[in-house]
Amino acid sequence: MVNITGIFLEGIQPKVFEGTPALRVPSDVWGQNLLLKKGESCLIEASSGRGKSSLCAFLYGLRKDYSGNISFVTSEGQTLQSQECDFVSLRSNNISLMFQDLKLFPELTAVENVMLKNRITGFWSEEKCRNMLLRMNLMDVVDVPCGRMSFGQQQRVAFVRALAQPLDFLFLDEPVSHLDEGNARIMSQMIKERQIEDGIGVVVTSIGYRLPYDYERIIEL
Amino acid sequence: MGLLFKLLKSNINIWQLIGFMFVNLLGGIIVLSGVQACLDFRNFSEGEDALLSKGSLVVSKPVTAIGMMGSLLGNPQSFGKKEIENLSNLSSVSSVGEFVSANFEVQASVKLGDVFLKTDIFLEAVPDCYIKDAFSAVGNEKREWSASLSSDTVPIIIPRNYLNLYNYGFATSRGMPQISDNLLGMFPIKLYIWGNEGKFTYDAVVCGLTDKLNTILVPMDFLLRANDAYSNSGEIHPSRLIITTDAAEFDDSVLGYLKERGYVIEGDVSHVRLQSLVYGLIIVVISVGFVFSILAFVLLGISILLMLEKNKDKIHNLYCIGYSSDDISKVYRTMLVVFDVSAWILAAIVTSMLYPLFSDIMENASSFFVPSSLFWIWLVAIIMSFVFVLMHSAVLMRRVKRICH
Repeated sequence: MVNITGIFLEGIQPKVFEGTPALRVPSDVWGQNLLLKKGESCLIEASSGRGKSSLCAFLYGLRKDYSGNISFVTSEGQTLQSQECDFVSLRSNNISLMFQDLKLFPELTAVENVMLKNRITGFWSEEKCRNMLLRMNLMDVVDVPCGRMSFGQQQRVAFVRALAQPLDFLFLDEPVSHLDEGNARIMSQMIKERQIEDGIGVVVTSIGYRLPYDYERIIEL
Repeated sequence: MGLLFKLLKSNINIWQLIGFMFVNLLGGIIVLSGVQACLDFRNFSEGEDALLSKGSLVVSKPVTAIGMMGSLLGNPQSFGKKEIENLSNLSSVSSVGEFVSANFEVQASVKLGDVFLKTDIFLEAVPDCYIKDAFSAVGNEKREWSASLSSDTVPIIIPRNYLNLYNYGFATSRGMPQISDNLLGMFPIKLYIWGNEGKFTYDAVVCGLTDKLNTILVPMDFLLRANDAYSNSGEIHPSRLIITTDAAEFDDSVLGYLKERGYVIEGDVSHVRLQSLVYGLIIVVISVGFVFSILAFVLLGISILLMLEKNKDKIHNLYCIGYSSDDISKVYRTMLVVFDVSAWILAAIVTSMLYPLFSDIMENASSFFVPSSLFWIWLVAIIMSFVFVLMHSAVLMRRVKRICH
């Protein structure tokens, strides 16, 4: 299994921006060269419609409607072009994304949602999954189907699920949009622990209300 | 698989799957029964006859008033060299064999308990190549199809009708025991030949039964030598011929030629026609079965595609959180394997259970009937389920991949 030590963005730009001059405003990301390093924490801030979720989807390999190039640098010094990457393997072992729309399964309970992701790699035990949910103050709803939870509760389940795998980079797309300050701090604490433990790179997007974290870089999209 | 199945099973329409099982079961039973019927009929039509294989006919000349006069004057109706040559030259005729008749008097006797039967009979011979090589139609012992004048025993083939005549006519009316095919070879039959130099006796052993020809056959070599030794007649032209074809059956040009020349065809044409008719019927039955099976195949295919359509978002979300399209397909593939295989295996089980009922009826109706092995039913069922699984899986994986990407 390879480790990803960096992600290099070379002048990438959503294709939809190319034909819309109004969207082509100065940016630290679009059309620029940018290296995201493992172990580094980075906040990407932008107003609505600037392509935060698109950037996450490009980095996560779910969308390819961009110009420019994204490449992954491995611990062995290889550079894997995004088009040639086995994203199924990367998504299981190297990169994880907490989706803005969460992509939880409403008929499954909180713990089942986490276990469903966890079973791909068997990274945690079921007990560990439950403990992580408890840490996110979800003790009362661990065995409740996600469809019956508030969006804030679901957001915390989605966050725990995003951690349930081996990681080099963690992308969080507006992770605290529906969280109170207390839960946001717990989330931040859990990310910090993982960053210390595994030296992961953290990329957080925000529309204004930030996840409280000691970011090493803050980038305007 | 547990959680994935829990997630993806929610849109399974149990009625569609029951519908598939029912239609495929029905189609499977029809197809497998058709296959079994085909094998049974092949055994039935090729099985027990010691004489003449498929694609052979016996032809003779019709008995007319003029012919009758000729035979009274010692010139029986027979085939000349030219006529035999013309038949040999027909395009689909592969061989023409001549019958040789005994030119001496023969009597046969048999002792059944206290009853002693004795009658004049006739003997004929056909070239050995028309007698099946390793037949054991009577009893389990294989007998060599040859005899010399100095032999004590002579193998003979008799028409099955003779046995039927005895069993259902003579034996019944006289309260005598009926004789099965297997026991027939054990009855001591004596042949008495009246030759130029007196009476000669042989033990005859019935080693074959035939439905294709009404005659008593002995080995050709024996009859030729016996004619030389026991008769004064010169060369006699054959009154009957066997013609064979390499094709499945005689084409109309041959049958037309025989009709045009006024030759009489003994029995086998109707047999060949009946055979074609029965095979045709079996093919229709198998085709109907296949239509049901294909309907079932399409039904399950549509059910799976509908299920995928309803689970589209879930499948895409699974892909987003790290599952491969192959992992996701596995859940549906397992379901397909269960339904496809169980439908065909169930059809094979039902057919295997029904078959003994059918074979009992057939065995009672005809002594010709030999039940076939059930091996082919199972082989076809396994192949069909394999083909169904393979084709369903290909459609499924293609669709899942498309949803994921």
